Amino acid sequence: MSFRFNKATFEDNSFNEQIREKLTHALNADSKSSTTGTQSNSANSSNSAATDEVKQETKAPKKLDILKSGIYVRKVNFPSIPQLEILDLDVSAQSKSLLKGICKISCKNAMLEITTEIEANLLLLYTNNGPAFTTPRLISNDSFTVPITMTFSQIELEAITNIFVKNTSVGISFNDVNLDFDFDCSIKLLQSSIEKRLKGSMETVFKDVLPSVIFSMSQRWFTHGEPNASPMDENASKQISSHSNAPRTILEDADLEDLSPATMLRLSTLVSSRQSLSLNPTAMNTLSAIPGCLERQNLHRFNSRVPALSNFYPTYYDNGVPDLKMLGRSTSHNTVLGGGYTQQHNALPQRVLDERSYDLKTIASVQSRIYERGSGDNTVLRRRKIKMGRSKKQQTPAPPSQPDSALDEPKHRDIATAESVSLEPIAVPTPELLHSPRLISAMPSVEPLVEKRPVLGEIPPLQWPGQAARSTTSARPPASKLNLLEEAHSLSRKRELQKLRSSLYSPMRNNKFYVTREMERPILEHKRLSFVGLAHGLKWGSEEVPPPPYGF
Amino acid sequence: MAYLPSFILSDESKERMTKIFSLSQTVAHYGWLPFVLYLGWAHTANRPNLFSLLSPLPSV
Amino acid sequence: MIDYMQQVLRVFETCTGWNRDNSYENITATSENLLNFSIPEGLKCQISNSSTAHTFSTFELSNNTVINGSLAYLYCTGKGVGSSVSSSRTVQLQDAVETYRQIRPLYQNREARKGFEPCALWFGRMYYPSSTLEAMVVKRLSPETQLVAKCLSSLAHTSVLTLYWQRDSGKNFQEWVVSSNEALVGYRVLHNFVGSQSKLNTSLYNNSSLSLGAELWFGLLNTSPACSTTLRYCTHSANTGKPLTLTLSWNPLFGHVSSTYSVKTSSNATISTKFDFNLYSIESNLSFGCELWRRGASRAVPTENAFVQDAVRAPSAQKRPTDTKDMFYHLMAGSSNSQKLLDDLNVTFASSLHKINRERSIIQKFEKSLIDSNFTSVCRLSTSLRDKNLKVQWEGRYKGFLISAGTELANTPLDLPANMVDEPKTASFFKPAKFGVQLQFSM
Repeated sequence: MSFRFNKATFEDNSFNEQIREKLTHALNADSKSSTTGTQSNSANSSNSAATDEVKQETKAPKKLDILKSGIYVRKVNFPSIPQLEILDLDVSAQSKSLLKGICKISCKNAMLEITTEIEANLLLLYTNNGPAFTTPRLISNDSFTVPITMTFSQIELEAITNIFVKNTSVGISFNDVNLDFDFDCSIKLLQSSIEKRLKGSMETVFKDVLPSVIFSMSQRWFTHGEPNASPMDENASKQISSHSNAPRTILEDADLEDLSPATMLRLSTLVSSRQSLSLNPTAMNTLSAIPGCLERQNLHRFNSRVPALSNFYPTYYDNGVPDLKMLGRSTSHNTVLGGGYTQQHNALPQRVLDERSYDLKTIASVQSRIYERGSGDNTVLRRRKIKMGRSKKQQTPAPPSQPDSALDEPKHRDIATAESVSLEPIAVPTPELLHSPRLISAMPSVEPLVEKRPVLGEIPPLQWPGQAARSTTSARPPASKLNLLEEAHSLSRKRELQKLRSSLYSPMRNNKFYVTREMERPILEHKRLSFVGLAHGLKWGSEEVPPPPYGF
Repeated sequence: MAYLPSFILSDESKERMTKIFSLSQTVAHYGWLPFVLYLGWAHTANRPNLFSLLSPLPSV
Repeated sequence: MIDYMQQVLRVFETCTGWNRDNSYENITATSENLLNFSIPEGLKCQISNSSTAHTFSTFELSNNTVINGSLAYLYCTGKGVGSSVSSSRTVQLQDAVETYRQIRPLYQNREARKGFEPCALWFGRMYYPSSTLEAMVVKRLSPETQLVAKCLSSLAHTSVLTLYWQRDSGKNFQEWVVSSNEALVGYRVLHNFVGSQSKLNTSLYNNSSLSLGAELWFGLLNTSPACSTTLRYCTHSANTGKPLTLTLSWNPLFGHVSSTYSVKTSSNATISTKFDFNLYSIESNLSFGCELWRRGASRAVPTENAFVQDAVRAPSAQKRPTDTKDMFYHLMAGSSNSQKLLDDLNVTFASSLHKINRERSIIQKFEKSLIDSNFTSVCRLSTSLRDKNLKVQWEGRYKGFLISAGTELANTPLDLPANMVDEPKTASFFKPAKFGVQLQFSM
């Protein structure tokens, strides 16, 4: 369980600008609603008794407005990055709340400047507001507006907060608030009294106002989606808008019933390992610490051991797929795991074919191993052998269609179950010619949107491996498109647990909550739990043991 | 009444006084116009009938 | 348009010898009437009746977004009130609308004080459907004092009670005000300087008055003070006899200075200007207002409103036989034994006395022309530079109905809050912010 505190948001000036805008908006929205009442009162402050009586009616909430203009936030400056320190994090709190944590927030040296205009003649306000019948008329009692500037400098905030994340919203309570600032007012006469009042009202601000504001704001995140997508992300959010708006059924009860008890057990083991933050499976050089479960970042190593033609000539994959050795967890950000995987067909590399460095026997053994893994029973493997007399036509039609069609049977069964586990309406397993028996229970469904397009685009005609390899390279552009989303990539993995939890325990309508504000980017929206690797019986975590055959 | 400390007036009597106060206000509120009318009626020599006194419309 | 009940109240004050203009609250009444006249909102109909000599009633219906109604009853003691209140058919338009307030010098108000008897006025108005009650009691305690209690009682909201204690000794006027609204306490004082300036004048006839007043307010609940001081000078133009009023107000707390100049340029036209200036913020404002009266056919026999004319004419009518002596009494107060000196003076200033007579005759002729002229309607116009608004009002009589119609054209609509941040403040054309018609009929 982890989340990202995006420091970069605070580093450039846009953060200050954003806060300035939001503050101006918030302060004026408040005053706007209050002044419409009083303004209408003063508007009909004619002496006639009927309007007076109407006034009496509308006057009910007696609220005077001494502000004569809007509140402008002139300057906001947060020179240092606010610090967030997590003191305690309890993920498995109650069933109602997803997360409970204690954070320490500290912010230093901030500065805030507010200007507005106030009515100095208070008695005018009162007499204007009062009923005309009983209010004596005052001579020369005109309004006197005074511009006022308030500067808060050296704001130091230190607060311990309790954060509760629930299915629908976020609750925050401030426990131990230390707020200190220097106050400077342009009207020195009022400075002390205003400061006193401000300090007095700080308690209500932190007790009532801020929590309620955050609460209501978070409710909006949960139900209405991202309210303010930054223009940078606009394209991405547009792309996914069709996805994010419609509520998605991630895992239905019927799906859960279909799962075997063993699968459920593995899932719960995985979940509990996440909850306890004992992320053993992510350790380097082990495929899986939990038997039968495969972590996302170990997928490539798993793939590399799956018997497939491409795996036997790793040296020839110089440009097609990045070096498999590099595909560790640590270097995940410069390689796209899911993208790399999908391009990995059960075909010989083009270079192997060009250089004719393949070995028919190896190919045959690979194929037989594929077959063995796919079908448990001991049916005799029939192989159609075509003698190639002439040298020209020696490009082996190595993956013959016959055994493949035989292999299709179990494979589809596998995938049917895999779909039920995967937490995404996955890309349909493509009935390619170059079937590789991907004996992975869940499809890696990262970026279904980007991924789907190439996959569905090539409704594969019967292709020669060479063509297939070319189509692989032609499919690179989508993969490079993925790089755009790289930043989000790691986040998606971090959210996996949450996704899983929510999918298992609660029908969260829209998984829009992320732990920090910075992390919820619409760009991440379509990322889902990539896969859960499941295997039966065998423990294949060590390097030497090849991946086990899949079965029930 | 609320500002009086409880040792001067018990809560019960305070409540009673508040009730009496609001009742008298209601009586004065609705009784004021009849009172003004009664004054006019009582101080007029020929004691006009009530309708002509009440009616704001010009009497014939 | 003055409400019927307000008219009754004014007649009551006149009959009991209370000078309405001699109070600090009304020290700027003239310019207020000409510049900040109130414009009715929506449609309003008033039917009023004086059922007996002492009781008055008003029924009102107004349609201002919702239909409101009100029923008002008034009872007052005191001689001659019932007969002095005139119906809408016969009332002089000058008395039925707020207009130029002609301030009479101090000595002219002395006669009305004789024969005082304590009297009172009760007033109640109930609004429907909200059943808000306005109640007022005016009690004349002594020839010089008056107690006013106003109460706005509402069952749903807070009730407000305001008490006025007023003492008017002619030369000085004092007033204490206590209001339960924000616990407001106020003190107002007005001092009339006896026309000693006539000595400096080339003219010996002195029809001018100089008053200085001040007010102090303090809201106990909100601890907000207010104060102001005002100087008023009323006189007549020496040549034409046309009255003019000058006031100068100063609010020392907020540095607000406002000066007004109002003059009746002819019997059917009045103009008023007001210049506001703030010493602290250097904000200024210039307002201008004028009213134009329209005459109907001159009335043949002014019998119906004989009282009103008599009341106005009374001082001059009485004075005519012994006018010169009367004139000098106010200059040399309490000199009963200086009859000889007076005679000497009369001889000495014979020429100036002629001048006095001539001037006074001019003034009186002007006043008489005002009273005799049968005005049928008045048009008002007022504008202000800073507010960029234009108020237009027409008031007049049509078939026994008193009608007041007006509109306010404002640059920015009034009902929009002024402090919207992104409010476009470039509305260049005038929009009607207010419009209303008021009908009033009384028997």
